[in-house]
Amino acid sequence: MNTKKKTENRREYKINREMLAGMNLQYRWYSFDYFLDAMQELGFRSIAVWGGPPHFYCDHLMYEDTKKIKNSIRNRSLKITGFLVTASQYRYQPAYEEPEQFERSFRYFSKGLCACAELESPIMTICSGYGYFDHSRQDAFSRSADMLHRLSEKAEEYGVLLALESLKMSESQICVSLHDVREMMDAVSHPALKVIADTGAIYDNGETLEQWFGEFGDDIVGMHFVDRQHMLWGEGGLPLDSMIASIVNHRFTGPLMLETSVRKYMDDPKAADQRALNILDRFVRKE
Amino acid sequence: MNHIGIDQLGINTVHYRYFTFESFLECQRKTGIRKIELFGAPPHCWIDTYGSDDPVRLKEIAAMHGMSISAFMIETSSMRYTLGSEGIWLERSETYFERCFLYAKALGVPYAVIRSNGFLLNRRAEDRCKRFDRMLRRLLETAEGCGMGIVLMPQFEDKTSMIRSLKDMLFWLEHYPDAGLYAGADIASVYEGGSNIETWLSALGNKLRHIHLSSTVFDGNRRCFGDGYLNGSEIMQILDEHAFTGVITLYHDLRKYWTDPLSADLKAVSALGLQETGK
Repeated sequence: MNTKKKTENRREYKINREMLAGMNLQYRWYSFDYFLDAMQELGFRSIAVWGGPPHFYCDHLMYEDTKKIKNSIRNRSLKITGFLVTASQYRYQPAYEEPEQFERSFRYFSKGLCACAELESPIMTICSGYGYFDHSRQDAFSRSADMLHRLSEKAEEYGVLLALESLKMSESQICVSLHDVREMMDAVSHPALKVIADTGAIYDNGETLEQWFGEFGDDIVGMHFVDRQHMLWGEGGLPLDSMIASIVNHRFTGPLMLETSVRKYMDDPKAADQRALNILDRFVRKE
Repeated sequence: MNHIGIDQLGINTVHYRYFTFESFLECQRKTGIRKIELFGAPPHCWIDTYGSDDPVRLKEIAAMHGMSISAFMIETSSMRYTLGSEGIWLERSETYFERCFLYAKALGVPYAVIRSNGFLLNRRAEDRCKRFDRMLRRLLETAEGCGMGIVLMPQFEDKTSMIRSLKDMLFWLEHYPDAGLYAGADIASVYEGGSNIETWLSALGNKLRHIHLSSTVFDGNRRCFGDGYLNGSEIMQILDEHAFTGVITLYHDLRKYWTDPLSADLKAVSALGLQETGK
């Protein structure tokens, strides 16, 4: 009887299909068109574009023509609900200690914001970056806050939102915990800066999605929705049912970006996305 | 062990991405390693299609710490610049590689270590092969113009790589027999691909110039010795028995090492069981 009641309750937690956004991060061994075809075939309606090589070219001096990309996406009846230019793979990150690299990074992320607006994505995700682990955390935090404030000004100018995601402890000492992100949001204090809830990083740090909703509420404009370290749901052990319940209870309707990226999926990322959809299907509102 | 000692061992900088170059050098004082394989990416150096920082500065800093840069590895793992680049990326990659060769030359190393990744899987196999051939030829010409050789490092776990196995390596070395093209052996990759270092040493002879030492649990990652299934001491014994005279560097890069890379280095050095030889 209890089991039946629980099942009935679970069925009440439904999300709209548009919220599930496929992501191209795990398609890096294939072309961008291959990714778009896969999204269409799998029935995705939304995508979040990971703007990194080999799918999107951006550096501190130029970026790829977005018209062609936009048309390719439109022709497949897909909608971009999120965008980012990569900060994790060398060369560009928001908290560089070296002034020259810091300025290069500012130009790079500014170009990313410009591309984001042209692609008509409402959000560009960014992380805090990192300082050297054996140098002052406070100095690194200040550089990151300075960068995020300057970029928030740009984001406002371009009519998009900049959304800050937290990182794992092995990646940064600046914005890892909920407390760190709150500290950064207060330091930057700009209406164009919002929050991305990265479920992998949140639970890696021993926190919960419910705590993040409690702290940031409507400032959460999107999620990197993965099970632990960029894994498929069901492989990392995160409490999917209660997380979906949190999402519904807080009336969150932003994009759930499926940022899966484990090497074992890269061989056949389409099959991995199919598995993700199979797992998430029971939470999707039927039309 | 008769020939190979810790004084011949080098170490790659890749897993010190959250520490300064000076911190890396200080840590190596504790490991006893005196040779550096510089990983060609930030935070320790900057090279892109537009330019680079000053390599001589790094050489001098290393010398002040009693160390030398004995090898240079071109960064292609971000896929920003790769041998397999297409379209807008191709010309930029070629310029980048030329800058890398000039950087390596200024460091005073005889060759640059490079991987052959970036060939997308939804392209026809014949086209991938033709493009790799064309890129490799151009790369060899550019390297020769800079007075440099090239060491191709295999990468079994990356399916966009054109050199994943010994068979791949032998094919391309035979295709360019007289050029300054040499083989590298990445131990984790070699064993994950079902082969072993003895087979590579026997098949490649003096074309094998560079070894990346790492252990593995056969998941595509490169662990330090003492933290995987391979026996570092046995591998060093094999290299010794074959009187291998090329460059040998530690190359381990796992997320869990990033916060404390020195511990991984010390574990690896201990597992190799090397002594000073005075060379």
